[in-house]
Amino acid sequence: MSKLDSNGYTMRSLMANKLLDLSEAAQDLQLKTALLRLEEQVMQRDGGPTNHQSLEKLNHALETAKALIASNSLDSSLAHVHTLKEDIETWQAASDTHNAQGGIWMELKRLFSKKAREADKRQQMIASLEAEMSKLDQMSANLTASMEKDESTMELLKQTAAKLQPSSGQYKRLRNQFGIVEKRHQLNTLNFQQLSRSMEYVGNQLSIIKSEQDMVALGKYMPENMEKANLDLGMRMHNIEQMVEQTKIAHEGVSDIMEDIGGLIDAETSTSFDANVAQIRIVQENLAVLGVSEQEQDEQLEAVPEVQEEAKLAQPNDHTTREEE
Amino acid sequence: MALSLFDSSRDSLLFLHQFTGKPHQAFLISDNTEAVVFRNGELSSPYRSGDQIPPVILKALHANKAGQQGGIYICRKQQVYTLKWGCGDIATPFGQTLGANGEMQVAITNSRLLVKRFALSLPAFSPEGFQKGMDAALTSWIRKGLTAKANILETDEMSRLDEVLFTSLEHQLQLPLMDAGLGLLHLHIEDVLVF
Repeated sequence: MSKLDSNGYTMRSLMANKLLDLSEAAQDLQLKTALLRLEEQVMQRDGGPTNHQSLEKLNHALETAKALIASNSLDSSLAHVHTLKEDIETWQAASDTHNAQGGIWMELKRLFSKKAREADKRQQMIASLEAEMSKLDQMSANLTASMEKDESTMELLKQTAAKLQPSSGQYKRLRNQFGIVEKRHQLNTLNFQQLSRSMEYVGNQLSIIKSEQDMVALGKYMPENMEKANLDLGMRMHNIEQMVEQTKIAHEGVSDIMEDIGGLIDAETSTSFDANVAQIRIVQENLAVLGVSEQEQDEQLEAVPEVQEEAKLAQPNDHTTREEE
Repeated sequence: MALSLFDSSRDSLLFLHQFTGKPHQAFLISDNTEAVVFRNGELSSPYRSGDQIPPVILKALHANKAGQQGGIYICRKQQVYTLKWGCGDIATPFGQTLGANGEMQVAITNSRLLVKRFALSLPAFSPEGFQKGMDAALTSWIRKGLTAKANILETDEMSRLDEVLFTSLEHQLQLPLMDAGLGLLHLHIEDVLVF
């Protein structure tokens, strides 16, 4: 707020009133009009600080104008209007400089403003939650890709094993590998469910805090007790952070768990692998009866990139298996 | 702080606050308005947006030493006042009389002068009295302006009376309006009749 004099006028108002006095004193219509325009100009923008030399210069120009009007020298008075205009502009320009210099004080004022602090806190939370959401999105994308890859690998392992004798070493290795991938897939599925819940929770909190922020901006939301409000915000943020942290730990823990599992495959996995392979074998036999060549079947399988990779690994052993046959 | 406010129409250029309670807070001036305080027989300079009339002045007003006209005159700077006017029986040098009617729009340029000219001239302020006084003054200035030109009309100007009267009237209204704290925004002569 601008400083007021003892009668309640701002400096801008005092300057405008001096011009108004001059317009009343002037006799000539053109001069009156010019002075009223200057008065309007003064009221359109803030003036510089009261201790600025531009104000002193403007005051001096106003005194000169007063003397010129009193002496009825119209030409000189009209010519002086231009000087007045320049002095007003200089004083108003000083306001911009003053405001720019006052930036640090404005910032401090903002720091101590209850409403601004409240808005800042929420703004920080929004930024933080948006960053978390972005991380969770990335985790979700990675997890989905990993699960798709595992599904495709499991399918390849089954398809490859269908060509082998169940008693062969290669078959057993494929079955072990299948068990590991299947476990990883199961863990990733659980992780994905946890991640989805976290994303939903964080998303909801984000939209709530954003709507509160809008209300703060509109001046409709201002908690009575700031300490309580801050505590509430802190608790909410803590809950979110905890949930996200758990999700991250679970996500990162998959590889550790897989290492621990190692080659341990339970009987259930073995049975499901054997059953699946047997099923594929039946389908392949049926296809052979229908006249679909082995090459065509392989081509269908090799259409999946992961199959090619796994096939490379399986080739040497395939040869051994054929020898055994 | 209790205050009484004269009822005023929505398009009134000014209205008056008179305080009846004990003021404890400054009176804040809102945007697009100006306030002029009349007390001890004197009008203050206009208070504008951002100014505050201090409690010490409000207390003096509360004491009502200023009489019936004492108080704070709130002037609406953005308000446009429209007057539909009509003037007849104006003599011309050719033995004819003319009459004209039209519309004018004015707005406040100097709150203090407006209050001085139209509010303080009343025995006691009332919105109706203010408006009636202003309408009468505006119409009389129009008549004066038309008469001044009609008296010196040239023969060739009779064929383009609308234009001639408008140009002259617009010019002649400027000074009296300005001295009353008003500015001419729009002037229109609808009909000119010559008998």
